[in-house]
Amino acid sequence: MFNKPAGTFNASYTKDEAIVRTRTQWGLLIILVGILAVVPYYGPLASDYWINFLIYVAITVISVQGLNILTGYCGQISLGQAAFMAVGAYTTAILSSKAGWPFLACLPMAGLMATAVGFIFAIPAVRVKGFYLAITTLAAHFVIIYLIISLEFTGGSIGIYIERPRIGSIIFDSPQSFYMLVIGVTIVMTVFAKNIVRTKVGWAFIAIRDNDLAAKVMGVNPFTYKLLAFSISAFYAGIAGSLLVYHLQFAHPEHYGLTQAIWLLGILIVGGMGSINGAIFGSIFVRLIDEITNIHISPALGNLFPSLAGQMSAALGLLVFTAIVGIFIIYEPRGLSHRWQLLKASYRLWPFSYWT
Amino acid sequence: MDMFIQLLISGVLVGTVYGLIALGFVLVYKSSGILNLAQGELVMLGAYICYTGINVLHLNIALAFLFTFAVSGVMGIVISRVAIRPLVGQPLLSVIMMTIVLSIGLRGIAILAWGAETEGLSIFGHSYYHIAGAVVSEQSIWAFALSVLAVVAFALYFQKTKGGRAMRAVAEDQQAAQSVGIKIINVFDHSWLIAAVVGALGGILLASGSGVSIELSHLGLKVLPVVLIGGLDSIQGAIIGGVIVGIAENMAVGYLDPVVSDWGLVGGGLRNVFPYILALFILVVRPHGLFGQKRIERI
Amino acid sequence: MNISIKRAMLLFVLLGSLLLLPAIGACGDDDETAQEETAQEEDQTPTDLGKPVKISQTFALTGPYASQHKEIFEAYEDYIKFINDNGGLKDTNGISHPLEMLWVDDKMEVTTELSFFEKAKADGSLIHGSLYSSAYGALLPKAEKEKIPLFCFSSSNMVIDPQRTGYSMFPYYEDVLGAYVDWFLQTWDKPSQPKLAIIALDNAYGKSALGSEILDFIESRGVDVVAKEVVDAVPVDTTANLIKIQNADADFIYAQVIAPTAAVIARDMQKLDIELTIASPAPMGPSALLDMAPEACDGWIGMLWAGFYADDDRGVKFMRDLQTEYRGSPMETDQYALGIASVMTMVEAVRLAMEEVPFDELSPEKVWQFGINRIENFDTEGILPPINLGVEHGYYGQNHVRPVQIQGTQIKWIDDFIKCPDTMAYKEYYQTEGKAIAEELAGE
Repeated sequence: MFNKPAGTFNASYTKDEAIVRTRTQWGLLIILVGILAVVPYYGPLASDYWINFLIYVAITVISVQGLNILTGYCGQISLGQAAFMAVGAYTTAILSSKAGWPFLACLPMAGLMATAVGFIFAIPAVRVKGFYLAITTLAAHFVIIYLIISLEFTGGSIGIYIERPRIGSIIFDSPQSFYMLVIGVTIVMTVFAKNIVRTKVGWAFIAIRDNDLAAKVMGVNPFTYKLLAFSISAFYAGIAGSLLVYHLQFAHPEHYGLTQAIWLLGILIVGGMGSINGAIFGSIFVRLIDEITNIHISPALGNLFPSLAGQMSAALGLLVFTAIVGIFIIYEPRGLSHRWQLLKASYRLWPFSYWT
Repeated sequence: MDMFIQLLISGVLVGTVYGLIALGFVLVYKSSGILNLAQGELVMLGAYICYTGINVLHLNIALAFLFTFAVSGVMGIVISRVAIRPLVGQPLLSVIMMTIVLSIGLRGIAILAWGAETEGLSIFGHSYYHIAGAVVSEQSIWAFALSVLAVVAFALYFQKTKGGRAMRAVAEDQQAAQSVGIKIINVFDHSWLIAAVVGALGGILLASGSGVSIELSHLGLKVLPVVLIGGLDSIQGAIIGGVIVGIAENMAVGYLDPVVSDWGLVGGGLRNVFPYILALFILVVRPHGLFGQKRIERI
Repeated sequence: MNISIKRAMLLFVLLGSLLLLPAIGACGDDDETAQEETAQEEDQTPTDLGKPVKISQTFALTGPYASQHKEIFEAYEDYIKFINDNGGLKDTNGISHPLEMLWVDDKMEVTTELSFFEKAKADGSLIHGSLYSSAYGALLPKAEKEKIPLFCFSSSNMVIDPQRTGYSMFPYYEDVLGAYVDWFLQTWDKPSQPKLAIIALDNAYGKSALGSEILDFIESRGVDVVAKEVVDAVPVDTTANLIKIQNADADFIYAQVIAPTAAVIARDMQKLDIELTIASPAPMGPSALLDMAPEACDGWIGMLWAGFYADDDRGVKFMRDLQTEYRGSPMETDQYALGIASVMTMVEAVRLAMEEVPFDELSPEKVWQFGINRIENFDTEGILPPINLGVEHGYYGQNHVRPVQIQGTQIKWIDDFIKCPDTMAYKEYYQTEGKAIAEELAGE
């Protein structure tokens, strides 16, 4: 059962590329999925509070996976992810509340709509590079949020209430059932992401990231692939936005601020760019720290120092985020996923860890 | 026609301040290749420091300005040494993220030190003048004059002094500059010092109109379309871009808001977003802004 | 090699210390739950004294509303201390319980708000409050499902529709604008049609003044809306907006903004020599405006629902005493007054429920049924006109405003409380459908 992958040899390319390579990994995977399925019903996390948290982490994972494909694999910085989430969220909200579309129609439509909007903004964005790109995506953010606030059919600054998702006659009304739905979508989207990055498209992305001029010389058209990366990333954002709005049951432009986009980038850095695992680790790690500082520590500190309550609690969250991401950028730019690799390597090589 | 002139003049006046702030932004970019997304926070901190100087330490205005410049300058150098130096040679995203993170941290520090309330900062007189058919406040004249003065001072500094020349040399070619004995790391510190001081001056000038608050850092975001339009590495681009954005904002409110309001965009409200739209269009035509240098890439 | 090891160690020390934070937090939690458990065990014995009654409230102490929310926060703190110093709340057996506020700074992040809501629910909070509408909107469906009473400070129209277990005790922003128009028309003696210009903040609060229903209402009163301007919360310059208002030849202005915005508008108005009647609703806060632009804000009108502007007022006296006792000196801010009125009503709902329901059967639903639904003509020490809430009382909170004016360095009441006109169709909705839903929720 616990045979180590050290003795596994890849006899063919297909085997080398396989996502799951050994029986142990299959076993672990099944156990993981099992744990995910059982968590909301048994154990320490089986409360509304923690399920709510897990749902939010899962939604973050989806959004960060998209950003990871664009930023981590294709090397294009985007500050517009939150705005694309807003596009997905509003598509869902409008279609489900005004046209009565069911969940299974709204979800892909939200993704496609975000893709379409992402594509429009990608056209100026792919023409520019580096810092110009960062500010261009920022511009996309402001323009999209402006349109949502100002247009009439988006409910403007009033917002739109929506019902819980429904598939056929099943209504995902309880936190547990909605959790199952979100986790299901998250798994599908993660597997999809993993598959994108190991196909030709994924290699093209990596080539562009490493040197887009060199990629062009080798016959990879940077323009097409950058557009593609933007669209895929926006699709993920759209799906995440759609789930988020089903979770909140309310769409409002203030929910998709620039801070959100920055957080997503921060999570990507902490998790590790260019790694599917990294997006998951980063989301869990950063959201957990954020949750604990905001909900538990800062009010407690505020109660300890009543005269400074406001300042302390307001500043703490910002400073903690700065500290985490800053430390990772300076000391571990490859993020948690790199630490995970090291951990796995040391396990694999033990007790002969000096052989490499 | 009256409205047009008024909007034009207000736009130029406030645009110069944007240009001044953008100058600090461009300087850091030119000398170290870093996009300083924390410029808005430097602006905000400058205003807070000046507020402290006047209302807490009871300095007179000239001293308060000097105090602000001194504190901001030190802060710039500290930022450069603590946060920016470790990033030499790191990938682009890390660098951008670092400045974003820095901006969040600086905001946290400001809240911790001053609270999140809005305070008034009135350092200039409250009289009004009629110039060429437009009314301008004393505050905006001061803002304009001091910005122009600062820009001229920095222009002279770059042309005439050793430090300024070193910065220009580094901006041109880091390796060549190093080979003639310029210490690049000193130039980094230098550029951050200037960015912080320029930002602080901009902050004081903006805050004298709209009050000191954490929200000033959002006004700092206005320099982003400015540098997109002017080009990230062009000093004159920053100034001209600033004036363009200043005018564009006002014109958008004056003439475009009623139009889009008719299209169903409630109330218009284009002021903030219009400079970005303009910048996007300019980028499609000129990917390096109006005055930015087009770099030839080699493998 | 060595350097990288050192770096890695440093990284882990730092990360470890970060991870310690959660551990500390978790410890604190464990203690709390442990205490609760012991308290629950003691529940069976009659020696159960002082098990706290919890209410929860979120604030946004970061962001554009920070100044207002800080004052509201202080009001909540002071009033809860006041209740506890006066013996807490008595249950049906006559045992008194201290009051405890669970709170969080949500930084205007809806997910923090939601997370805190769930935590407060788990910790046994009986009534929940939120301060602005974008967060309230996300909480309402959850609150309604579990029949948790939910208060919102903001009273834009989305807060009311659908009203089920959600409340605001302040007049709707639309109605306040309606009241201002009516109040202005009282003194209008020119033959021409009066022209109104609206300046709105670029968010839900601001834009509620530009909704189609309120605009129709204004038109129905024979007033022409000649300018609809949207501005930033902290603008650099509002000259362009004001020139448009000037060119449109407006007679009076309504600015649905906050104090920093108003300060800039006031200066620009002085610059452009615009001398029109201008008013703002309570969230603007005349005292904050007077702080920020003392030279330019003379004559600005506030359509308030509470404040510090009459020394012989019993509400003012109450609040001054409270501040002197817990803050050392009176502060004179309008937001504080709103905070006191709000927390007072929330506590009153809990108190009423505790009169009817034995302590260990208390739940948010009971507070809603026996507390909120029984709030009738509730007097907030004279800070607000009497408050009515709940299904039985047909109306919602109170709907009176009182105009106040900045005169030199003073702020003065310039009229008595005015009843706001009904400007929107939601009230019909509430009388029919909304009431039916609320009754359905209330009946088992």
